[in-house]
Amino acid sequence: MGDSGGTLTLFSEHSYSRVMVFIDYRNIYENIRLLESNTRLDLFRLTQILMGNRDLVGAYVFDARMQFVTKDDATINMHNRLRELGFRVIARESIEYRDGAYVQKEVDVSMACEMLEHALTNHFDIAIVVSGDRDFVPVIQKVQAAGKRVEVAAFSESYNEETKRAADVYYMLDELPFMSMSSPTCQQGVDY
Amino acid sequence: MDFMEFKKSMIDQFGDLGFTEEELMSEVRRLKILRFDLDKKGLNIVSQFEGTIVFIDPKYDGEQVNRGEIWLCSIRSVSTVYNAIPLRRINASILMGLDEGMRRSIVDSLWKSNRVQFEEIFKEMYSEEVYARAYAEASEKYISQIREKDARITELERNLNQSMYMIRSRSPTEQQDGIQLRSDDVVETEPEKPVEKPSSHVASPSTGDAPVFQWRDGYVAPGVPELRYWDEPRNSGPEYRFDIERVAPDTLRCEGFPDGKYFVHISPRKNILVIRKHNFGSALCIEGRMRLEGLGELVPFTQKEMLVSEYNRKYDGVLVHL
Repeated sequence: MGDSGGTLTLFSEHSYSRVMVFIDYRNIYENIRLLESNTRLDLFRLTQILMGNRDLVGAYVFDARMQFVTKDDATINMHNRLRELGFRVIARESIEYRDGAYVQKEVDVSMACEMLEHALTNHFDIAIVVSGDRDFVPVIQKVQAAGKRVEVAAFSESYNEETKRAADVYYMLDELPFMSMSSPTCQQGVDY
Repeated sequence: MDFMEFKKSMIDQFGDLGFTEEELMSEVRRLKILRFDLDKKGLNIVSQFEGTIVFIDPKYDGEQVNRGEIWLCSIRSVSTVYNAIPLRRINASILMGLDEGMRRSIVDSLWKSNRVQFEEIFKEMYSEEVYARAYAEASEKYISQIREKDARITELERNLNQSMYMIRSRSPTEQQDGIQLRSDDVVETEPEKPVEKPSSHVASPSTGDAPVFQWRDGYVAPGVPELRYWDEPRNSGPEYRFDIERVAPDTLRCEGFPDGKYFVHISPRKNILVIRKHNFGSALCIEGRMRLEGLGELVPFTQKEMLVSEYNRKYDGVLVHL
């Protein structure tokens, strides 16, 4: 049996396993929003931890953005930074204003389609889904039916029991050190 | 003889002088001793009397008045300013030609009429002179001592860091790459090699040699996964423990950590911290101290405490329990 994050699992890790990571950005961001004043979400590091010593084939980030925004929009800049790091960012222009709030559409289905397509074309051995959304349970089951392993990483607050049961391996993101910290800049009068 | 007797004698000798006592007194009251200097724009020679600026009368065509000179002048009020007709330059030669009493009365007069200005000037000159003298004396005595002490402290700290590192590595005679022993005794090191699976760095268990912890600077490109698991015993031994103390809300004291950049990541539950040396890191360690912005807000600080910390194979870094 393998040892994954201190829990028991049926599966072992092999360096030759091909891994694809699928990240639901908003689902993760909503859980760490309160920490953003002192830390920074480091998806690069999170992907490294989840991947371990396995072979990463591709890392996808699924997000939504407003239509008709300028190139200086903060979301676009964030997406471009992720692309520069090697992530494949799929940003749907699907944010709508409804009932007094902004909601994003199409993202979950987009992520599910991408996972299923890659699974059926045998592009990976292991899919890591970084989201606690229960909407992904059907696609998790279909990907498993295609002979692939599906691991899920989510926060305890957004974890759903159905998702936990459906996953082959699950990770609690609360315990993984992926929030980046930095030293104050010189202008802030660093005193060592 | 008073003034009236003087006037009467003058009239007897020269006839009526054609002026009254009031006119003469009025003229005398206009006589002022003024010091001339450049105005704020540096364009005109001016003076001041009772807070009002005094210009040289435009019709004056006598001897030139220079900056810094003291003149006996007759002043007249023109609108909101005064115009002055310089009558006689007052300088040391005049004073020298006078007897002691006259000299004293003129100096007293100058002092009384310009006391505020003179006090400011003397105060500034005196304080500057005193400060310059004190600074020069202190410089000679203390700065050289401070420099010697600083150099001694730096050398002692370097020796201490080296000793700590050698104790931790359990191989005091082995020379380590990247460690500068002394400024005049730098060991020639080979060029940095790319990070590779370090099976050759680990001693065979059969020989009984303990593996040595080596900091890697992480030159691998950020897009390339750099985590590689070493072929070593699963349990971390005592040689992989580190002395990390939280000494301030945002400051960690990290014994034996080389100066440089580190990646520092904290878990969302704020219970563990992982520190990895990397050239692209955003946290700096300088002389064994690392400041992390916002740590005090994430994890409250009550007092200095040693933190349980050890090398973690899964995260390939130093795991610190908060």
